[in-house]
Amino acid sequence: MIAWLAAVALASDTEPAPPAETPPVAEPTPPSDPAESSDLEALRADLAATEKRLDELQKQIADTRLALIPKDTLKLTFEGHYRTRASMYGHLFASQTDAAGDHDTARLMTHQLLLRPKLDFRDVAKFWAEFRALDDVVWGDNASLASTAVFAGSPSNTGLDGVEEPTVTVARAWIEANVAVGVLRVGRQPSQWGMGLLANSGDRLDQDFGDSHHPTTSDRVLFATRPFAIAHRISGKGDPDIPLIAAIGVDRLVEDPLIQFHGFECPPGPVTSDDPEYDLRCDIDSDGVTDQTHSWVDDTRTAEQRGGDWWADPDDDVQQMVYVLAYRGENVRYWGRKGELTAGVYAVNRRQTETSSKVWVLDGHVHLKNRGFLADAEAIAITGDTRGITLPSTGPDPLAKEARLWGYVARVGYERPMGKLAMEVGYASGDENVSDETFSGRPLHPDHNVGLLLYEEVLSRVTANGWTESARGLWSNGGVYNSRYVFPTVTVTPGENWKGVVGLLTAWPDKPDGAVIRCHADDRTGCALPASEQATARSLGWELDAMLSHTWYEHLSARIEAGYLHATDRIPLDAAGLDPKGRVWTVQSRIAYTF
Amino acid sequence: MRAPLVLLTLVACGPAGGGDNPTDGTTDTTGTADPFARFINLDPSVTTTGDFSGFTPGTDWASTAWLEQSVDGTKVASADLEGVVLDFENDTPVEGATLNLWDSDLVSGTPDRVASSVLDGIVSTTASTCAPLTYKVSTDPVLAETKTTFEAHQIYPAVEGGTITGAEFTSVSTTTYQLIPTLLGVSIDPDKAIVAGTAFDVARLAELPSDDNTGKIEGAQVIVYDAEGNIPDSLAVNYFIEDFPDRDQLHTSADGLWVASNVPPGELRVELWGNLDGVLTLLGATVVHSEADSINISNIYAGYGEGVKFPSSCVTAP
Repeated sequence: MIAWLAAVALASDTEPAPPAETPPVAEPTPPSDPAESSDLEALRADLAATEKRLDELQKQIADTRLALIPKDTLKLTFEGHYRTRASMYGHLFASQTDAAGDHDTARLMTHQLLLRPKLDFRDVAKFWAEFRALDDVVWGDNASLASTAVFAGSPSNTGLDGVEEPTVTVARAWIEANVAVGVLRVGRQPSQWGMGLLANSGDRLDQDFGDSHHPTTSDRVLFATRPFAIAHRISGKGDPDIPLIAAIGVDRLVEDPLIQFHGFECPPGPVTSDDPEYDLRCDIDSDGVTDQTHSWVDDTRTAEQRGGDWWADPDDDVQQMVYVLAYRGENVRYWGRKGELTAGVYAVNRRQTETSSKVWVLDGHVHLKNRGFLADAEAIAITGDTRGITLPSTGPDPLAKEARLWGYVARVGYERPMGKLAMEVGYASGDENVSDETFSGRPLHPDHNVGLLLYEEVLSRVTANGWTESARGLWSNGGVYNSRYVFPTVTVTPGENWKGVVGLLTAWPDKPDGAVIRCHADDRTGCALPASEQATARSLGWELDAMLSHTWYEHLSARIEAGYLHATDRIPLDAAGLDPKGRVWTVQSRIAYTF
Repeated sequence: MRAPLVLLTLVACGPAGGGDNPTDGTTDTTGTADPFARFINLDPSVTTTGDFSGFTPGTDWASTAWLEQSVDGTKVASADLEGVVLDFENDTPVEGATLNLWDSDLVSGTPDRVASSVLDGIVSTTASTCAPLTYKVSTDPVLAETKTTFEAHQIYPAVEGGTITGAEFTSVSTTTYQLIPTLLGVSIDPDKAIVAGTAFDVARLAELPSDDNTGKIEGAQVIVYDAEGNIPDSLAVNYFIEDFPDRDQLHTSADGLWVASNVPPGELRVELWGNLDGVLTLLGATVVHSEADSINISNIYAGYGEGVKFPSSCVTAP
C-alpha cells in the first residue's frame, strides 16, 4: 500500500525532473589512475539502476492510472424482451357465426417490448428503469390514421381493448443499494412472490401457455437482510451461509383517491332541517338547507378540481406494510441428496383510515426439488374489515364488509432430463352474493396462466360483461375465478432447445352467483334461478392445451400453442356475446427475443 | 358505485293488457307445484304499507274492480314538448338518441313522432297533454352504448302556454343493463328483456317526481304474465333496498322498487300483490310491451289495473 501511495505521489509529479545543470566541459586531462576509474564505473552503474527503477515506477504509475479510469465500474446492461404473438380463434364470439351458420376465424397479432436498462456500480449500487412500448398493441393501423383503410400505411398504437396506447411508458424505476447489513430497494419496482398468485412481476416469458399482461408494480421502500449473517457478524463469527432472508417494506398505494369517499349518503335535495331526511353533513354552510347531493362515494370529482393541498390529508391515504421471511436454499441436503428448498411467508397489512379498512394478506409458499421430484405450493388468505368497497351489505352498516378470501395452487411432479409429469390443482374463492356482508371472491393473479381459453379468454370476458366498467375490480382479467381446477401436464424436452407441453384442464365452480356463473340445483350455496335458467352441468368445462417451443441463438425463441375448450352451460356465454355453443379453439404462435 | 344505481325516474300510465290471471299456475312449466307461489309468497308477518282507501283489492286481475279516472277532455291537447334525454344511471345528457313516441300508448307500427336529441341531450317534438303515451329511446346499435329503453304510460299534465317543458326521457346504458342483473345473480338472455318500476299506493299523485317518497309501497311482490297469461319460465323478480338491488330482499322495501328479469318479448302484464289485513290481495297492475334485449320502465299504481294514472290537472273533480 505504501508503495502504491508512493507511486501515486510520484504520479502527481509526472513531469520529468528538470535536467541537472550541465557541468562545464573540462580540459582533457591525462588518464586517471585505476582507483578513480573504478569509482566512476560504480556511479554509472548506480545511475543506470536508478534510471531503471524510475522507468519501472513510471510504468507502475501508468498502470495505476489506467486502473483508476472508471471505465469498468459502472456497467450498463439490458434486460427484457420483444415478443409478438399471432392468435387465431374459432367460435369464441357469437358474431363469428352468421345467421346461415357460416363461421369466420378471428385473427390478430400483438406486440410487446419490455426494455429494462440496468446501471450497476460494482454490484453494490444499481438502478433500473423499465420501459414498455407497443404493450399488447395490435398490428396494423386500427385508428384510421389513413382515412381510407385500404390505403393504410403507418400502424397505430391500438391496444387489445381497442383504445390507443401510449407509444412508450416508463413502467418502473428503482434503486437497489447494498448497505451495511442488507439491501435497500427504493422506487417503483416489480413485486414477485412464490408462484405469482398474489404478486407477479409479469415481466418474463416463462409461462407454458400464454403471456403476461398484468405486471404487479409497487411504489415501495424495501429493506432485506440475512438475519443469521448479521447475528454471526455481531458475535465475531464467520458467515454461516444460511439463506434465510427477512424483509420489511412499506408501499404507498394511494395519496388521494380521485373518487371521494363520504361514508354517508346525502339525499336528493335541497332538504330543509325540518325534514326527517335532513343531514347536517350535507349542509355545507349550516343554513338549515342541504346543499350537497351525493351517495356514499362521489365519482364526479375531476383532477382539475383538486386544491393545492390535495395530497395533504392522511386519512384517505392507503398504505401497506410488507413483511417477508423466506428460506431459499439451492443446495440443501435432504432425502439423502442436495436439492432445492424454498419456504416462506409474505404478509401484507393494508390500511386506510377514512374507510376503516384494516386488511391482512398472508401468502405462504413452499418449493421443493430433489431427486427429480418437484413440489410447489402457494396459499393466500385475505382477512379483515373495510368500508371501502361500495357494494352495500345487508348488515346494520350498509358499507361494512368483512373480507374472507382464499386461494391456492399446488403442483407436484417428477422430472427427468427427457421431460416432466406434473399435476396442478388450484382454487380461487368465489362470492355468491357480493351484496352481503362478506366479501369472499378474488381471482388468482391474471398472470398465473392456466390454459389458453377457459380463464384467459372466456371467463375474463364473461366477468367483464357482467360487472361492467362500474365494477372493474371484480373482473377476472384472465385469472382463475370462483372455481377450483385440476391441470395435469406432460412436458417433453427432447433436446436442450426444444420443449413440448400437453395439458388437460378441468374446472368446477366454487360459489356460483347465478349471473357470472350459473348455479345448479344441487349447489351447496343454493340456486334461486328459475329452473329454465339453472345450469345442468356440474363443471365449468374442460380444455385441452398443447405447446411446442424452440430456442436458438441464445436469445431467440419461437413457440406454437393450441387449445380446445368445451364450456358448459355454467357459463352464460350468450349474455357476454360469446358463441353459445361453447366449443372454442385457438392456435397461437409467438416469436421473441430476450435480452 | 351505489350512486349511479340510484333508481328510477319512473312516471307511468297505460292501456289495457290481456290474458288470464292463472293464480293456480297450472299453465306454468317451471316444474314448481305452484309457480304463482314462487313469486307471490309474502310471509304473513309482512305488512304491506300504503294508502289503499277507496279501492277494494281483488284476487284476480279480470274480476277486480279497478279504479277509474275521469279525464277532463278540455285538457287533452297537442303541445310543443321541450325535453332532455338523460342517462338512467347518472342523469348525464345523452346526445344523438332517437326518440319514438306512440300516442296510442301501444308500441305497434310506425311511431307517431320521431325526434333526435342534440347537444346536451335536448330533444324537441310535440305530444298530447293528459293522454298516455309510450316512448322508446335508442342510440346507434353499432356503438352498443345503450339498451333500447321503453317507458310506458307517460302522461304530461295540462300546460298553459302550449309547451310542455322539463320532460325527461330515460336512456339505460348497456353498463347499467348488465350490472343490475349481475348484482342480483341473474344473467340476462339476449332474447329476453327487463321490466322495472316502482310500486305506489292509491294516494300517490302521478305528477310527483320519482325522488319523492310519498306513497311508495313497502311489503309488496310482483309477478309477470305473458300475452297468453302464462308465467314465463325464465322469469326472475327482485327488489331493492335503499335504491340498490338486493338479491336477498323478498319484497319491495321502502323505496318501492322492483325489477323483473328475463321476461319474453311481447305484451306483458305485471301484477302487484300485497298483504292487507293478513290477506294476500292483488293491489294493482301495469301492461307493457317488451322487446328482446331492452328495458321497459313502468310503474304500478295501486287501484289501477293497467298502470295508467293521470296527473291531478288532467282529472275532473269527483
